[in-house]
Amino acid sequence: MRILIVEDEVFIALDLEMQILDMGYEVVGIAATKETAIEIACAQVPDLALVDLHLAGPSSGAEAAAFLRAELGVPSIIVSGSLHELTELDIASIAPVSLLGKPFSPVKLQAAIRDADTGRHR
Amino acid sequence: MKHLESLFDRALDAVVGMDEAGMVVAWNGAAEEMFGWSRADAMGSSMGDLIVPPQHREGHARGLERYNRTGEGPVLEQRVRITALHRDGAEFPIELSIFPMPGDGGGRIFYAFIRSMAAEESARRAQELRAREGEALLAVAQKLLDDVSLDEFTQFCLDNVCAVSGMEAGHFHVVRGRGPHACLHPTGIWHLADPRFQPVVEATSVVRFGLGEGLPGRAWQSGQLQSLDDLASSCQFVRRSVFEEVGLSRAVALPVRQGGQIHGVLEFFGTSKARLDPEILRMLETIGSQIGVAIRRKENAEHRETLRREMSHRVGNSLSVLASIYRSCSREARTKEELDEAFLGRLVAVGQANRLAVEDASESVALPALIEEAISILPERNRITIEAPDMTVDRDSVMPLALILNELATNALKHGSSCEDSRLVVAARFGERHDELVLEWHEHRAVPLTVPPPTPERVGFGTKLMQHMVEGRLGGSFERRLDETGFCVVMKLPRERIEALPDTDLMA
Repeated sequence: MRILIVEDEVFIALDLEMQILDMGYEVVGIAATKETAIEIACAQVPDLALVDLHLAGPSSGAEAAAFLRAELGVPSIIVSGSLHELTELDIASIAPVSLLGKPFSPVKLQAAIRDADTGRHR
Repeated sequence: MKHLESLFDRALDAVVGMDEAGMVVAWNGAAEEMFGWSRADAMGSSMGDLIVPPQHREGHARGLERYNRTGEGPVLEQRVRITALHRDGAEFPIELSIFPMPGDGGGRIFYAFIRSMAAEESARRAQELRAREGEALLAVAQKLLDDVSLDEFTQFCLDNVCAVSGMEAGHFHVVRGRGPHACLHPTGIWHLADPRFQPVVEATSVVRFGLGEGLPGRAWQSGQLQSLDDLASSCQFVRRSVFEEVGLSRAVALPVRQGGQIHGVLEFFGTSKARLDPEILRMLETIGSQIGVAIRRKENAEHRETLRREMSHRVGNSLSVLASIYRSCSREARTKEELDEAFLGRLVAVGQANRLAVEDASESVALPALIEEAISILPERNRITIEAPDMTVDRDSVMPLALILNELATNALKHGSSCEDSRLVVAARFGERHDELVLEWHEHRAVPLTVPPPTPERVGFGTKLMQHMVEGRLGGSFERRLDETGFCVVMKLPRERIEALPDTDLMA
């Protein structure tokens, strides 16, 4: 499975990358802004995205995830320290595979990604 | 009768007399002063032509004719408020009462006692303006307490000022940039009393005024209110054709000040009906300066709120960041000591980079300072050579650059302890086309190894970090070489990304 990481905090992003690689999956790229996320997604068409809601400055992770879902059919796992900020409208337009709070436990992350993988093949 | 005449001559009110034909037969000293005609000039002239404003002359003539015919005079013997004409053509409010008296040779003389209300009128107006000014200031102050955005607040202020001053359009320009590059930008926030004024919005949106340029520019430069009474004939008013078309012929520009500096200019426009007399201008100045303070305060509040949210976001992430850093170091460390050193070393580096990027964000950071900060953890400063141009680093690039340099320094510290006499050269220069910065970090072994060091199977975390920062964050290229002579990293970074532009401004 090919995964896009959308996270602006570099240490978290690199850590996520390592964990995904350790799981045997591929990372197509790391995006720090909504625009870069959309750019990479259009070019690489990943199978899944790990998206942080809060990106640097005015960039919106929620908007990126919604775009990915609507335009490219790419599902997202939302990883965020501010899950409570998600509105019902956001959840409706993003239709996330799962929601993970931060700091996340690697065990929960693994489970979420594997679920997304099996979900794909169903 | 004679002493009465000389008494009336000294009366404070004007006393005039007119015969049945409407000719002046009496004119006292006060009348001379009030109307500007000497007794010699006034006597024998037609009263109507002398002091009755053109629009009332017909009524005056008809009234006289009617009384002569019927003996009825509705306006006689009561106080009448009307206007009169001065010799210089100025019309002013008066209060008068008319008394018909028998004349010496039969017939009637109409005497009038006249009082000028001009002073009262102007005092009343000044009072009214002051009341309106007070209301406007109160409304603005109350709005400042409301939780509205800066734009909404500015809009409210413009609406308010236009309402109290009788101006029909208002706009706010803001100063952007610093030094010679600074100029006034239209904010696009307008009050328009009538939708037909819309074209002025577009006409203004494309103009940028420098210091001293145009009406707003002059207000900015002089620090004072500037007004133009007739836009169509002012060649200095560059937008005049558009304004003329929609009927706006008067303009006032007001600098908005805070802390001794001018941050913007308020502009107000009126039709020819707008009165730009000293009282209105004074009122505009008072309200304008208070609005200036309020707008600045609102801006600062919004800015602080943005910073607070950014900080909150960073801090909120920090536990996750700590966990991630720990896991990354833990994967690579072979012993507990290595893990301790790597983890704590990275924490210090992140802390330093964070401090530079966030806490000292108001001051600009120069490249040489960033390099110095990073290598400060290395001992033996005399074995280190630094060459770097005095480039100011853009705020968003401070954190990535600091992390990269800190990573390189931490690395050097780790490996330097195992080989003494190694020299470090950090050299930064602009590339051939001057659009990029080439930064070289070169650790030279004093004595080269006999064989090149082994390449690790997996790219180390530190290298990944630097690569991601250089390529992902700064849009540059990253080259790393580890051989028997030492360790070298060459980064090419686009100047447009990493260099702070001279017109960076808090308000942008």
